[in-house]
Amino acid sequence: MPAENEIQDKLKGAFGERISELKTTRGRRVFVRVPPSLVKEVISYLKQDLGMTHITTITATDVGEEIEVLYHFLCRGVTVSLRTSVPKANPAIDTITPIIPGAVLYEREIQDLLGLKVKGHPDPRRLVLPEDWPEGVYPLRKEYKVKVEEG
Amino acid sequence: MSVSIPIGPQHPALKEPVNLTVTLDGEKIVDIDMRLGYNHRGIEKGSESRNYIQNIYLTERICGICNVAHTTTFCQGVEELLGLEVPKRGLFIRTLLCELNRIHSHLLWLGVAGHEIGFDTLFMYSWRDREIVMDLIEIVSGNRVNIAINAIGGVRRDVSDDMRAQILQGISQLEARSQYYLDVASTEVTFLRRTEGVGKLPKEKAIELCAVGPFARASGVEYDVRKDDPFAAYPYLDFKVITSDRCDVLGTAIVRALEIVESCKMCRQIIEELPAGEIKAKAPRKVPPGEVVSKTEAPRGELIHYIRSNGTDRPERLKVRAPTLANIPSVLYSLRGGYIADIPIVFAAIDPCMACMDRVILLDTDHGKTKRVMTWEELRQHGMEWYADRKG
Amino acid sequence: MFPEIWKHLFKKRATVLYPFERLNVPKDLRGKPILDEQKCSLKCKGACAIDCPAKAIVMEKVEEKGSRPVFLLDRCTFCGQCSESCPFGAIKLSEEFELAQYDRKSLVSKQW
Repeated sequence: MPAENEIQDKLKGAFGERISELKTTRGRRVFVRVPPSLVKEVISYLKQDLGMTHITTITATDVGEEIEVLYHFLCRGVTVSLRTSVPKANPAIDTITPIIPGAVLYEREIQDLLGLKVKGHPDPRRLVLPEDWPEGVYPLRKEYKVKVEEG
Repeated sequence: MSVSIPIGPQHPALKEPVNLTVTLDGEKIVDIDMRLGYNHRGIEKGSESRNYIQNIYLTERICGICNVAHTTTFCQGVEELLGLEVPKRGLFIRTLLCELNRIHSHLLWLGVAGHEIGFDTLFMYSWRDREIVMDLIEIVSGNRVNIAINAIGGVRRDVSDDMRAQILQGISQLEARSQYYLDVASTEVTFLRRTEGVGKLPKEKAIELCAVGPFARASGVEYDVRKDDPFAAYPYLDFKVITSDRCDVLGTAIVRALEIVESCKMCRQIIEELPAGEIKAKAPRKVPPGEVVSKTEAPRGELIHYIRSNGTDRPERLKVRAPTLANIPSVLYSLRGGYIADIPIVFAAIDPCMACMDRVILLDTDHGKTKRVMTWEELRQHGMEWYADRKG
Repeated sequence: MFPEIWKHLFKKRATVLYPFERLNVPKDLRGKPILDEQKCSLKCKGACAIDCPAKAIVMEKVEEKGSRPVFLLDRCTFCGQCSESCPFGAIKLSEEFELAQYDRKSLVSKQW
């Protein structure tokens, strides 16, 4: 059985109805959607039972009323993308650095550019924006418009 | 008594700015911290206001050395969203340029590593051999850097028969030279003294901190996207994943030299097995809604593009994670416990596509007085003299 | 490295004394874009300008007939996308690469 189908079946078996969406778009890609409260449990399961060793990156997208966070993991050659949504009015999420220390810089980046509050992060400083950047202005949100200057 | 030194952002040679703050106890590094963001250009935001064709050229300029990897990742992501199949000849030419780019990047790294330890002869020789690769790339694509060979649906230029003969000749020259660099890396005393046992990163730490690329493979982590998640023409090619158990900077040099040899073999295989046919499939301008995760192996490690489309001719979201960002926690770990003289070479070992430092200000934390300002040149000199004194 | 250095003492100099000596550029080098007036349809509303990644093409009106491209060579990255996007094949990249000028205004290339 191809690896991505095996991973899909195991996730369905372990979490059942608590996962709202599970699909395989092509070989070696799995997309899963969970509520924010289930994120840490699924990541621990991926690490202990499905041989996950590596986080590739964390993507965050502004989809209007919510901010969608995607964690991209590597499980035995398959890229598992774990998706969750938090409301834009209160974008708070727990850190995953106790389970995966390698995620430390990616969480700083989404905190900086999209205003996601990562609770419990060991080092919540800015990553890419300068120190004198105004608080509360998040460049990757759709409200932020880029000014075009003709040279 | 520990002293805290900020190593500040600007330097006029080769690389990009970064800021390090080093806490020292005598000559040993107790702690090290880094500030990034000096080269942040807002490319992810900029890609949302350009159409997919303009975005190929924008992603190419994320990095001058890995430019083929960025366009390959982007184009293959959009092709997956469109459900477009690239003709086999196009895939082979794309892979040929990925591998030539890899040889170029590793030769460049050898020169930079030689320069950081003060071995300028190695720098000059490896960069002169890099000219062979640059000429081959120019013959195929029309440009030496930012080669723009990829288009959505395939490649833009074809490889003619006399180009094939010239490439094979260039590859033979490179194979002989790369064998020579392998000997230098493993036996040349000047090189060994500065790189052996320096910047140690054990295998468990490399996995825990999610390191990628030749830097992780030098610590024994066997992860190469070309083997684990093949893309382009890699399923049809026969090659080995090079790892080393050394876990130090010398291991990264040996892994890269062996990878040049492996890439030369792959280029030869591609030229000999190049199938006939079209090089590009016609691609529509509007991309149906969807999302894709596209991964490739850039010369520095695993590169990922996440693209989300919304039915128009502009992307909804483009997320890029370049391989150097993944290696930063690991390099900061490997520098702790080392000497300040090792900072240039250990930093160069991850082949930073975003690093450069100048202006070291020595602050005495007890008295709070600024003592001395050092430039990057002086830091390099300090490293060379320190090792020379230590020997005899 | 000593045998290597000895060998190199007797090799030819690798540096080319440009501009007194010239290197031959490879065929199909991507240089300055050239417009073929006969092929440009004037009516396509600027397919070249829409796809230019550097916004280096400006469409200028030609009486009542339509518009033709003007190239801003100080913004051009010589990528060749204009040549591919033109539905009539009116733009080709030549091998001319020595384009430096003292004044930015002389880099506006109106070829009609």
